[in-house]
Amino acid sequence: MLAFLIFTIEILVSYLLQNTVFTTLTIAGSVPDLLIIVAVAAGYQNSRLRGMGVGFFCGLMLDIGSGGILGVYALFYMIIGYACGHFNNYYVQRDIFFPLMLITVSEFALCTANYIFGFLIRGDLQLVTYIKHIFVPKILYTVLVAIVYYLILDFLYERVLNRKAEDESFLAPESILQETTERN
Amino acid sequence: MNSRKKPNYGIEPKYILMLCVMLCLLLILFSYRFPKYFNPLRKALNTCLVPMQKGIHVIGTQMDDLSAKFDDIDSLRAENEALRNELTELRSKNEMLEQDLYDMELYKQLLELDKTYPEYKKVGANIIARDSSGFYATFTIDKGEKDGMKVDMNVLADNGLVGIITDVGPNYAIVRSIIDDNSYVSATIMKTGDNCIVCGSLSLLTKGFIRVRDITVNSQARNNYKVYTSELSEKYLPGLLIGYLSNITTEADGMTKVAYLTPVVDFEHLSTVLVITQLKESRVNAE
Repeated sequence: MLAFLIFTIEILVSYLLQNTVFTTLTIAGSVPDLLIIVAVAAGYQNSRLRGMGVGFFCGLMLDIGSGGILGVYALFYMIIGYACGHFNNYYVQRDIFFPLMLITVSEFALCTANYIFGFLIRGDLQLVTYIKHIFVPKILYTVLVAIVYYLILDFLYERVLNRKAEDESFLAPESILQETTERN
Repeated sequence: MNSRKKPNYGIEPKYILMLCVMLCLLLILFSYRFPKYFNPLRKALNTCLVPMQKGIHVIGTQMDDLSAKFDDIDSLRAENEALRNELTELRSKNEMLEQDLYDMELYKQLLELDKTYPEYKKVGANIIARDSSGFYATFTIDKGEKDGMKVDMNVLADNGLVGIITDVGPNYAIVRSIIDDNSYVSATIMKTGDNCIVCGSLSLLTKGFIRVRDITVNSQARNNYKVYTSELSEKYLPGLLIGYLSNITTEADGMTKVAYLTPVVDFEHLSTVLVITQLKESRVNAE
């Protein structure tokens, strides 16, 4: 329940910041993608399932806000959250390098997916232009913001979510570990 | 959450992922095919979010004003001394001239505005949120159904066309601007009267242009000709200025010409817009 509350707040705050404050603080016309930081962090810190769930709602917010078809961003973010959950075993508190790599790769994947389904599908082949003018500034700005934003999320996880897990005499909720014990 | 979920069902996460992917695909399909069923959900959530966005917007503009004030003070102090002497000299001469000029400018502007859009009623609105993906150029304004907004209403700013409303909720409306890659506007070139299509282009936008296509190959259009919305358009009211032509070239197939277009609206610094509360359909029906 606590986790649910915290993720809800994280998603809401990120969405609002991303769509209002940061649209006036653009660098090279790009807005940092705070929601992907949340989705990646949820997967990386917690588990594949949490990453998936949080990613889904991150995407759904964007879908709803854009007024278009529902479920496209939800699908992308969900898969990203799930994929990042695979790296849960490598989670180290206050480590910033690895999550930044994850965020970079995820953002690149997201931009590519965006390009493929929004532009390539209509026969637009100017990928190089888009990489130069949209992918790169967006990824750089996102990573730049993530240095601070991820640490805040990490702090939240460390202080609130993880403590609860420890109380329940679990380590960090590693889905894989639990699975294997279950099967055995 | 997870520690509870897992032991209960004992399903591997990858199967849950597959299930959710399927659900997402279904969601995409259904919301594409039957968008109406999802409107309540969309409206409910946006209606909750819009007041927050509005609040942030208000705080943001106030902060901007505040910082601008401080900037003004700093720069004014520096400039003040240098300018003071000059000012005293020029003041007596300038006063009368400036007053006249100001009045004249005002009348000119009023006259031009009146000439360009005489017949449409407009409502002002603030932009409170924008698309953040970088791929699309949509934004949210703080007026909705309650203020008489409807889908397909045209949106203006700076004396030019900004876009069209694509989605409306009780207290918000989503506008797709003409620089969006999915935007197509049927337009007419002033002076030559050639019809063409103005379409947003993300790749050209990086250079500050949008694209004009389907100009007849015999067109005499030249650079800097004005482009207006055309009578042919289904959704856009006629006679709204879009921008100025440049870089006209003939397509490889030799059938049509294409060109660049510089929009009159400064989309980078857009903060308030005017919505025309008249729909093209109603105008056609009335006639």
